[in-house]
Parts: sequence; C-alpha cells; structure tokens
Amino acid sequence: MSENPSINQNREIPKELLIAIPVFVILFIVPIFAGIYHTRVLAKFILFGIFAMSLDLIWGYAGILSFGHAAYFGLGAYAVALILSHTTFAGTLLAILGSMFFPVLIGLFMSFFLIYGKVSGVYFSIITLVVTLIMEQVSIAWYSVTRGLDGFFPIPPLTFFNYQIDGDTKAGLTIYFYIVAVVAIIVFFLLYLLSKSRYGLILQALKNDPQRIQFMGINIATAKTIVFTLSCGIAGLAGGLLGPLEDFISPDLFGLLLSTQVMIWVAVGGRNTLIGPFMGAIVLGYLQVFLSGIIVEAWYLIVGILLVVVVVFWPLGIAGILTKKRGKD
Amino acid sequence: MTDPESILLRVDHVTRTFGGFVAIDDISLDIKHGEMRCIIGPNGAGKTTLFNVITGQLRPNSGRVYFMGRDITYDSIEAICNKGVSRKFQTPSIFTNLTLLENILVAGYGKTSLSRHFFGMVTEKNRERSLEILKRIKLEAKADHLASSLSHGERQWLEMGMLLRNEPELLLLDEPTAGMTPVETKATAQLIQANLSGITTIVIEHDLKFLREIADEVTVLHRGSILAQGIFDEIEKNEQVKKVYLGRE
Repeated sequence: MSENPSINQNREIPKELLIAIPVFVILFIVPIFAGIYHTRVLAKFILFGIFAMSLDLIWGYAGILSFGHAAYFGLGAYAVALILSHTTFAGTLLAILGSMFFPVLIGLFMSFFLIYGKVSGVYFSIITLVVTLIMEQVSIAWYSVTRGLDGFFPIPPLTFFNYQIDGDTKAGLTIYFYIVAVVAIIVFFLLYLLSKSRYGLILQALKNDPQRIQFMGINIATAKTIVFTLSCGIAGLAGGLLGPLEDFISPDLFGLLLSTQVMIWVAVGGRNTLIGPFMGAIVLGYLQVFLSGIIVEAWYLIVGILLVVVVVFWPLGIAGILTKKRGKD
Repeated sequence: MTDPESILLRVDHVTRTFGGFVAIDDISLDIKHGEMRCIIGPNGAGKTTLFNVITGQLRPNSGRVYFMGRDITYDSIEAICNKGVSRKFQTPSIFTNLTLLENILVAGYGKTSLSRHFFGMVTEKNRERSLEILKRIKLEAKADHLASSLSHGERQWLEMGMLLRNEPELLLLDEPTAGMTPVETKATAQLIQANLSGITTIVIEHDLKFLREIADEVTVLHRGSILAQGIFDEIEKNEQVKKVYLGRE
C-alpha cells in the first residue's frame, strides 16, 4: 500500500491553502500601515470577497448559476440597517442573525419552486435574475421603509459588549476591519472544509452528472437546496456588514451591476477555488479604484476585455491555473 | 407458481404508454434471488422503458412493481436505489471531473443521510474498500487519474465498480458491452462473472456471444410484450424469436 499515490497525496499542503494563508496574513498587516481611507476601502472589498465566495460555493462547486445573487447581499444589508434602526436591545446580535435569516428564507422559498420544481440550466439563471430585479423595484418603491432611491442612512453602529464601533475614527474602523477579516477567514475555512468533505464530493459529482448521482441514492434536490440556502445566508451576512461600514445603503445593492460584477470576480479569480473569487473581488476592486481615477469611462471596457481574455484563455480562472486539479489527464 | 419467498423483484402487469405508443404492454416478470436474467429484443421493444419503470424514473400507467415484497411503484429514484436497486446506464455515466477513486467513493454515500456527510471527511475504511473495488475492476493503477482520461471500455468498467460500491441487491445493466471491441466484451463478461456472482442481475444485451457466456435465463421482448422466456439454448432455437430478432443478425 505504501506506494499507493492516493495515500501519499494526503501529506501535501493543498494549493488553495498555500495561496490563502499568506493572503490572510497580509490582510491582517494592512491596517497597521494604511490610513482611514484605505482601511475602509479594503474592508469593503473583503466583504465583496465573502460575497464572491458565496457565489463560488454554488456556481463553482455545485454548478448552480445564480444570475441575481446580489438579491441576497442587498437583503442582508437592508435587514441589518432596518434592525439596527428599530431595535434598542441586543440590536447587533439580532441584526447579524437577521442578515442571514431573511436571505436564507428567500433562498428556501426559491429552492422550493426552482429546485424541487426541477427548473434547471438557463431558466434557473433567468428566474434568479428576475428576483433581484423585483427586489430592486420593491426597495425603490417601498419608500416609507427603505427610503427608496434616497438611500438608507444613517445606519447605527454595531455594538459589541457595550462598545460602539465608530467607523469614523481610525480605532473604530480598525476594529471593524478585523471583524470583517475574521468573518472572511471563518467563511473561507468553513467552505473549504465543506468542499473537502464527503458532501463536497457529492456536489462535484452532482455538477458533473446529476442523473448518475441520483441513481446512487442521493436526493439531489435536498443537496442543492442546502448549498443554495447556505450561499444565500453567507451573501446576506457579507451585505449586512457593509451597511454600518459605509453608513449608507441604496437599491443599487440589488442591482444588475453588482450581480454581474460578482460573477466576474468569480470567473476571473477562478471557480472552484474559493480563494480565487475572494482575491478576484479585492484585486478587481482596487483596479477599479485605481483606473477610474485615471480614465473614468474606460473601466467597464477594461473589465469586459479582461473577462473575455480570461474566459477564452484561462477558463479555470487565475487561481484555477495555480491550483489545477490533481490527477493526470 | 414459484415460491414467493425467493422472488426479489416482481413486475406485475405493467403498462406504460407515450402518447398513443404503447412502450410496454401488460408485462409481468418475476426475478428470483441470485438470478442472472437477460432481456433481449429489437430496438423499441421496451427494454429500457422497463428499466425506467423499475428504477422509478417513469411511472407506469397501470400495474405495480414489488421489490423484496414491498410496493415500490411510486417511490422516488433515490428511495428505490437506497432499497438496493442499482442501475448502469446505456452510455457510460461516470463523474469525469473526479478521480477514479473519488468516483467509487461517492457511489457509497447514498446509503447514509446527507447531513452526516456535511463536514465528514473520507474515512480510511471507505478509501480502502473503494481501492479494493478498483482492484476488482482492474483499474487500481489509475486510482488518482481523472476519470475523463479513461477509454470507453474502462468507463463502462468504472461504472460497474461504482455500482459494486453501491452494494445493490438487484443490479440492472443496460447494454454493458455497447460500443466495446470484441476483446473488451470478453473482458467485461469475465468481469461480470467474477464480481456479480450472488448479486441478482438483469442485463439488457444485444451481443449473443456475451449472452451465451453469462445468461441463466433469457426474456425476449417484442413490441412491448414478452415474446418468449427460457434458457438461452431454447430461446436460440425458438422459431418466433429467430424471426423477429435473431434472424436479423
């Protein structure tokens, strides 16, 4: 047995971790040197990175493409903003739970119709797209609650152990940054373990040949529903943490633009790698900040060209090449 | 009447139509424990439809299917599989994005509830058992290769290995030698004989050499009905069967 390659393979450090660990270490160092502006911007991009990982979970690992994943991100953001504004007792705890609860609820509702209703492929994607448009319209029209296109502000700060995290001071912002970074690390390792577990293997099989795995005795509708609602919950959490950081949210969060951007982060970063989409969100985010300072309109042109280049030449995405799946072809 | 105790699968007056076309017409079939039954018949005779009804992919218009004495006619695909009915598809269905070992591993997961797999890692025991199966189908040297690298014949064997990992009571094989070279066909017959003894099996096949090597009893389907049934030598001599099927060779 000793010469068996499948046993030896376990001793290598997986390539995803070889990339992820240095990335997280660097993230932890940044606020020491960065000023308020960059700390806030990076914290925001880390949240987008968590959002991208949530999409990678369903798209990369389970082959479910949600065209309107921003629906759950935006829902989480509004849940936190509204709960913080309307509660006095244990508001932070309720808000964090709410940022996951409502997206999960809508995710379950969608799963019931789409997954148990056996809607698949492009129709699934189109309906998810419609849902995000509906939410955008609702958030615009329901002025008394969401304040429509004016946007929702101010958003009360999160409070932990009677300590209000004031995002306007460097100290408060640094604490917020580390909370966000720790959430990102927890989400990464949680999803990483999930992807390496037996359930992760089932998802990979499901993506490749749903009929075959069903005829192996797996209830594919349940398997898909679990991963989809989990993804919705994580997207909601990421969105929820954005509000208190920015002190402003608007119906743009539900928009088509964000739904498209997250797909680009995942595709360019590399599906099926978790760390690729996470980095994709941060790097492309910074690229946008940098380039729109120089040539405003050209930014979307550049993203478009980048997407085409990646899809044509590196369909696995950038991290996909670095971590190329083991096994000889 | 056969002793009901020894019957594993009973197909009881099953009819299935598609629009006006009667795919299977009032078929009754008893499969005994440990039997190796072959089903032959020209294209469109209803062989695959019969498999689809047994495995829950199609509901019959009338009639019932009993497995181990229980009515499974309206059970879900996965429930029927978990009761012990495994199926090989006509075109090899394997997970090309996984390694051979992972293909076998994942085939064993249906028996346990999904929640137990959540953060459960692959156990050493499971890995050893799966490697054991790879050895039996003679693909252990490629355990860590991606399944997409396999030849057509090897894919068929890998799928057979996955079914073994599924530990079925009843195995349905839909043309296991389709598209194989004569050498591969012979190897497949040996593989089936070496590994499936004791497992009740129904095989749909066209290749007569292959049938002669493995079959106990043969059922001939024609236009959705049973035309003849018996041991292979009898069937081979049956004039009616020759006319509709064997004669066309």
